[in-house]
Amino acid sequence: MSIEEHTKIVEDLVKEFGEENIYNTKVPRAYRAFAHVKREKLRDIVRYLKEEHGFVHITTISGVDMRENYEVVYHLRSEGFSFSLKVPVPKDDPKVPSIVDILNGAVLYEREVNDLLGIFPEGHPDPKRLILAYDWPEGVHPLRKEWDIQTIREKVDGKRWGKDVE
Amino acid sequence: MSILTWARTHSPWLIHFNAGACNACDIEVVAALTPRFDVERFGALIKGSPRHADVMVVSGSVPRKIRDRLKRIYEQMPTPKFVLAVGSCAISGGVFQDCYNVMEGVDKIIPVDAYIPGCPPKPEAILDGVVKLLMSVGY
Repeated sequence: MSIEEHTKIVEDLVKEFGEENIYNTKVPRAYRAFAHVKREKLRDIVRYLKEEHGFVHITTISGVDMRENYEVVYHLRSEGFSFSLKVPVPKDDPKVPSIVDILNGAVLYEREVNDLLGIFPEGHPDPKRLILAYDWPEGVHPLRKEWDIQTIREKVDGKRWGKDVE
Repeated sequence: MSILTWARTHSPWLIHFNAGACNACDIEVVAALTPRFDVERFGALIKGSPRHADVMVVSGSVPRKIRDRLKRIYEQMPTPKFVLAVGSCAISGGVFQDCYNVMEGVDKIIPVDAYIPGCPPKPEAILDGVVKLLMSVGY
């Protein structure tokens, strides 16, 4: 496959969903593409990519704290072609629609993003804690940028400790 | 040297515990047990169960989820018991210092008798740590 064919897949997607729902598209080289996606259209776009272009594999889901908002990045893959869908999520409403019923592989990644950044996957079949410790308090999401390590320790252990404190 | 000290220092049986290490320290601990470096000449044997062991060799930065298991396995060892902290992570958290899930060192959880610095420490350094521990007991 060449870069033209991969660009065509992305252009087809923009034509199908409109430029207001899928924007900032980038195809830097063959087998790699990026796009920003509206949160409301994410499920439709993932389903369309799966059914029309064979994106059946989700490599991972990453959560990014961009400071003014969050960004959840869905890394899809089809026959070596990696397509990253970036979904901006506002800080006052940290939720994304779950895509577990479309791509089953997302089940653990969505729980991980929920643990570490507090972006809740709405419609997830089992959204319980995945990787944080058992005695970790609710609502403390360690990868959020507004907290430093001592604030997290104060919330988790009840006191500040470590080399800056002693 | 009393007979108790003699018996204690001539057969220190080890239990190796990986508390979230990256495996580099574990490889060096295993290398120290091979005939090339031969920790067995001091009577040391690696044991599968903490109930048979006298010396706990801990590597890794001790994440929060490991903390309770480390404490529990330490409590299962019969007294007198000793702890060797192997590697920078086990001493202070190493490069993982200030991570939200890292307890920064084995000595925050259980008492440590000897520290072996290095990332990872050489097998010779681990041997030296074992010998220094035995000397402190009265070898």
